Amino acid sequence: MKVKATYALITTLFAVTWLLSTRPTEARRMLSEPNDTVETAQAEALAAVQNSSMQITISTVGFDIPPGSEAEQYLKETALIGNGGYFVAAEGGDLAAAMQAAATGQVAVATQGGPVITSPRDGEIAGPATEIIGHTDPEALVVIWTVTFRADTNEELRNVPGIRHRAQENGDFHFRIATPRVAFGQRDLRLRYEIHIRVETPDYKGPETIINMYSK
Amino acid sequence: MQTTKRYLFIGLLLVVLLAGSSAMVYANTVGCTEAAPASLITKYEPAIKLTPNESYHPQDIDSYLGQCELKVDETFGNPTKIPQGQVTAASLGQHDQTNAYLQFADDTNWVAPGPNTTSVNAAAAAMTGTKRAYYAREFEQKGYKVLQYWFFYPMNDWGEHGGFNNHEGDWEMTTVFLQPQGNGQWEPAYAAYSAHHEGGDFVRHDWSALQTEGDHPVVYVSAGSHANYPQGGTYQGADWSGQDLAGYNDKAAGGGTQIGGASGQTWEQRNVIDEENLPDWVKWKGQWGVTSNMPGFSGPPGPMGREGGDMWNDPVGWAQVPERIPALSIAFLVDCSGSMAGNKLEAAKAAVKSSVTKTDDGLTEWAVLGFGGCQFWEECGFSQDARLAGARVSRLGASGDTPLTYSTYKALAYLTKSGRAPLGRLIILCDGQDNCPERGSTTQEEAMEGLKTIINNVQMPQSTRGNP
Repeated sequence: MKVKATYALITTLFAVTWLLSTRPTEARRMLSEPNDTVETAQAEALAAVQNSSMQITISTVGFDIPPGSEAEQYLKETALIGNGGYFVAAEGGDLAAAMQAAATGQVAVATQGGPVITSPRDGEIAGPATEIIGHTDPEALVVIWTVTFRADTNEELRNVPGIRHRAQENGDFHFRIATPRVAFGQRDLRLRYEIHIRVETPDYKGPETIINMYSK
Repeated sequence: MQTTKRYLFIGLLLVVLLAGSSAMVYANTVGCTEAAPASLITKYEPAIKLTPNESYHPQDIDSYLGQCELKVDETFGNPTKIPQGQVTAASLGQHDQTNAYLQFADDTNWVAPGPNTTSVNAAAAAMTGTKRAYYAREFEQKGYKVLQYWFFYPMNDWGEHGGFNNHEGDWEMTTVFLQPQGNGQWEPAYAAYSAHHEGGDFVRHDWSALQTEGDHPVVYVSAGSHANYPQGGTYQGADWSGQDLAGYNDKAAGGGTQIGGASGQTWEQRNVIDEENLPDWVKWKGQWGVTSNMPGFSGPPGPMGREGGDMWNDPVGWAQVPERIPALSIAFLVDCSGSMAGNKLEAAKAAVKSSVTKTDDGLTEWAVLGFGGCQFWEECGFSQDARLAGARVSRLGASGDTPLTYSTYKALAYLTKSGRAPLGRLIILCDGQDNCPERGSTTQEEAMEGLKTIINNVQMPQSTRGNP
């Protein structure tokens, strides 16, 4: 009898604990419609990006996902298509570091085969000059050019021709480029620098990584 | 056996109650707001400078309502009357009609007031000695943290001070616009002071040009009209349509009582309005004061109705404050399926919070989105307030299936529609595979093809696709 009662109590407590952990504690805004499907959601996203000038990247963080699993493959491919990075954290591991890396725009996993850029991070504030640090194929020819936009309107202001550098024997490279805060005689104009880092190939279609930076 | 049944009964009761409360909170629809702490509101609360001959001061509405009858003008000349003593802030919601109005119970002389009518009545005079009060809001709009202070005066007796009109009840407002500096810091950029029916650059003032006492903007209040000005002086009066009223001036020289600031009397009531649960008196559609057929002589609508709602709903637009565009919009999409419950979800919350802190540069905005139980939701709409985003992350709970593909698409639509920056970053945190047949099943290949189609349609500047 006592065992049954204890069992019932434990079951009850478990159910209550589960509910407490799963229920939303405060108001939230539900954005799912009852008849939504993957297809309708895809159409909604397609229409939204077609009507937007926002440049999007997608990064993914796999949390407690077995290496080589389908789940990992899914997230890796999503990041690859989304021109972002895939980051991993084991349960009990440093999930915060993985999330921060994704949030700060690190592209630790090469995007579409482009060079891996470890500095600067996407979205950083640029000084008068910027160090571009990364890694690619050994002794690959890397070309870097910058397109400058008004940050508020996204109007393209200038396409600054590229410079070519040879990566070291181990594939590392380290270049310095100009990212002036005052551009084209206009002060107090906030700029976005779109920095293109591409591995040069004979057909000029080598893999490329793009980093965005901003003036103050 | 009895004991077993009793435990089971109590347990089931608890389960039912909790499930019910879950359903109730899901039904609410709000953006990213949080009960505001008073710190910024008190830090930037205005210092009000009245004139020596001013009869009133910003006061609590409760003592005013205690002096009023509430009338609903259902039949002309014979309104339904809620008697004095039964009119409270909470009871206004029971008579939420546009033709409802408040009137001083002792006001028997207010029949056809004309210019310069001596209309200061006994009830209004009895207001002296009430609490010095403001009603404040804190929210975000178009790149600013908006601190809005509403002041209620029981009477506008501008006509007694050489002005144009008198009317019962008077709502005025001061708004402070803060811009994010990063690391949780905000700095004031502009303030806007209500003055009759003006808007735009008449009411907007650069913070650097304002007179302040510490962090408190100084507000000179015109005698009787309670129009607000940044400097002491005499100003041209305006009518209800914004036209100059020749011969009628606002006299706002200060020199009388000061409330707030380093040298003023203290605010006795600092009322903070809960944006998620607006009180009935805020939503009330009636007039705060007896109505008149003569334009300019009726009591005003409440704060939500001033200037057609612009002052409440769109202060940035009303004061023509330049919109601030963030540089980066980050949307965190967090797996809240059942497998994330417990420590994993707690770790995810901590990771999102630390990522918000890490990217708090004053130029980034964040949204927190969740998916689980075949649902996709917004836990926090785009905000540049790291404290607020962190608070909302704490509310995430986990249950059910993993609608990963569906939610990725929904999140992309959300990011491009709701994010304001030219650069958008979607970050997906997940611990498993898509498994929500309810939303339609797709293979991984189909999901990736769908994603490619979307990404290929992202509007990239032409130059990024060609050679330099």
